[in-house]
Amino acid sequence: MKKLIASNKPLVKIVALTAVLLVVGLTPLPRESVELRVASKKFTESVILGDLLELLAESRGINTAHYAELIGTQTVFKSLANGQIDAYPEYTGTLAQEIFADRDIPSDEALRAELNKLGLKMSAPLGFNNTYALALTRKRAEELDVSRISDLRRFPELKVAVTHEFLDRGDGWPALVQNYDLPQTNVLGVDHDIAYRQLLSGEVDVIDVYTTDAKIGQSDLRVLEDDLQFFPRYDAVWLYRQELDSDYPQFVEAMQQVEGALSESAIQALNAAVEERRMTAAQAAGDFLDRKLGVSVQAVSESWGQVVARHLIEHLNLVRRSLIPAIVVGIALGVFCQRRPRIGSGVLAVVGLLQTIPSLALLVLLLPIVAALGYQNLGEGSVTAIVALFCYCLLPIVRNTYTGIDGIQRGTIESATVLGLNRTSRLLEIELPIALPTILAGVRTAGVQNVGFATLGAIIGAGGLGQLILRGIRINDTTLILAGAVPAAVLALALQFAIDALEWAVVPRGLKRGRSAHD
Amino acid sequence: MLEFSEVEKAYGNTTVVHRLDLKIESGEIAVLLGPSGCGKTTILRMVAGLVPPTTGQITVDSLPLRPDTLRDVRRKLGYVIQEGGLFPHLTAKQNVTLMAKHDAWPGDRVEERLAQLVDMTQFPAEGLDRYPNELSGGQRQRVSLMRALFLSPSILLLDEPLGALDPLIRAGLQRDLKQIFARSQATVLLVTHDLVEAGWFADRVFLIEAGRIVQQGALSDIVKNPANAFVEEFVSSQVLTP
Repeated sequence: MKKLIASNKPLVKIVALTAVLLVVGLTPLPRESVELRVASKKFTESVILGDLLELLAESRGINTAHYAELIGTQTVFKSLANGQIDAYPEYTGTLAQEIFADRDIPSDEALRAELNKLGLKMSAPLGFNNTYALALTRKRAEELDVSRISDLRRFPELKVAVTHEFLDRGDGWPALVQNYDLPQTNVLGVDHDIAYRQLLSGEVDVIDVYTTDAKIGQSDLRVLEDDLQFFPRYDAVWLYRQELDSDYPQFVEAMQQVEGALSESAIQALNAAVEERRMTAAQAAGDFLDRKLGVSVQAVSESWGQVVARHLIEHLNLVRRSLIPAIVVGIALGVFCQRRPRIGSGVLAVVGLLQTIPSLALLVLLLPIVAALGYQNLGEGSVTAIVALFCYCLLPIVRNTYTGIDGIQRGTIESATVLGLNRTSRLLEIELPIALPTILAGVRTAGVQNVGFATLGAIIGAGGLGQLILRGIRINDTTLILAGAVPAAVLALALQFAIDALEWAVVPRGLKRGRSAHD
Repeated sequence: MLEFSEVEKAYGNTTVVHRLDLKIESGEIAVLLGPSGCGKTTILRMVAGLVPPTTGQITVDSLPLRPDTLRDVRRKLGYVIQEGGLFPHLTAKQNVTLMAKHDAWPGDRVEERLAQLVDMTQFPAEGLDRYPNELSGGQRQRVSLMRALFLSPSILLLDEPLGALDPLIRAGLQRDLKQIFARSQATVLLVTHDLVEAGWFADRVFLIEAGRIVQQGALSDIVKNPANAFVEEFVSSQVLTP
């Protein structure tokens, strides 16, 4: 018996270590229980409306999470349809043109019918229409006395600057010209921000805008009336799951309070408050509820330190739950590849292929799979983000385990064999320990990469420091970008340092470089 | 005792060891001598169970070498190779005592055996806590010998044990090895390409050419009466080397 334990000690140790790693790596953090989930897309207006939903729900005593700044209309809509979220703000035009593009949707009623089939409901319009429009400076508009798009027919000499997208779209500028019979020939394609600047400096006369742009109010522009109703309507609405009617009637009632209350100028002011005056979306939304609807809410106010710390913890959590399982699986796969070189080369190729899938694509590809398996897709602790990060961690660990073991001198392995070590003992006592420095180098590479990749989790609402970076990019705030990027860089360095320290502690002197025999 | 009966080894159509019939008595020191590529190392590796014979039977102390007896046969073997084959992540002492630890030897018994071997191999005791890369080539081979001898094997297999050493260290270890062989009382099968080394150790030399034993006996007989032109050339080339 004693002999049995003595010869199996390394096996007992490695099984225990694996178990500990898996528990540490897989256990989710305890989280507040969330009753309701709302979401938004990654532009300011959507985030404000998402925060508005969250605040409305919280004001009715419902514990709510807001998965902000998710990527892609399809992603958000599908998440609503499959129940990962309960409500989010959308536009009628987007639904008709993008979600139900293959169906004929002549009216909002037809749209409601389609949504009902999916178990979804759509509120009445919130009051503003966020669509394309043409605008001039008020001064120039008054000079020329134009207020409708058809008025432009009288001034063929006007210079026009429109966004590249608008210029190229079939239903954009070319269709507009045809529809209104516009005579202007001096038309440039430029970036949105540059168009505004050129308009204000007088270089051009007419630009295209979104009707809710914060800059319209600030720059004192006149938006021309679409008198032939050429542009499709993009009325803002709430989309929500049917069961909210019975499960959270107080929330549905609260959503209804907003219907018709958000005019174009009101949403322009909210957009401006966030983009120009650096209010948070939650503060802007809270202000609106307080002033316009008399709903008093407490928007959570956090210090900078608290904000960064919260995102740092989320980030560490993503890294922990992807890197640690990847270490266990990666080493096991590496050993397998070395033992079965023929299948192994296939495994290595697949793992290498995973690494080449662009991260954005991998996340979006994984979303439906993870949803189908019934795991949490969006938001903090997103299984999708964790699985994607796990995939990226595998290659360096698998490859280094493989090469670490495969590179051991044949004489060393054969000596172990002839001494009488069986395969398991040889692996655990000879091969893995000798390969350890190489394996740890792989873990270090995977870990440092992982800290960087984890910032991308933010695009599916998984939180982390990427959320700050994403928000900073959205509202063009360098401080916010740095508040995400600098801690991420420091975290990567700290992880590298920690693995170096681990290596120093566990790798025996005999395997360290820079030493050689003195004969 | 080590016995080969009609042992052949072929890789595809290439036969590297031809029909080998050979019996090495207990306590005998046998040396397989020949140029590189002659098959002498393959013979040694077949005994260690690293290469299975294509046909024929190897018997170690009346135990036939088969897949199911491999474990038991290996417990009778000590194996030393040119570069030592030491485990780089273990100290000299850990290398030497690895299998005793596996067999759950009590600590004092391990220490006692270790002390015997340190004395037998003339290994400097302060080197026991060093790692292989902190030892000289000669010291590494002494550690390798201690490791091979620790469980008192009845057969000691050595593949060019002095091959990687410089001349002075080599001479010292060569001298000590002969005493170690005598004290351990093991049957020794040693592979070398060096005529002088073979003569120094061997009770019997087996001169091998292209997988066949072409002559065997005391080295002096082989030198005096070479069996064929190859033996004559092999002998004279080494004797005449300046």
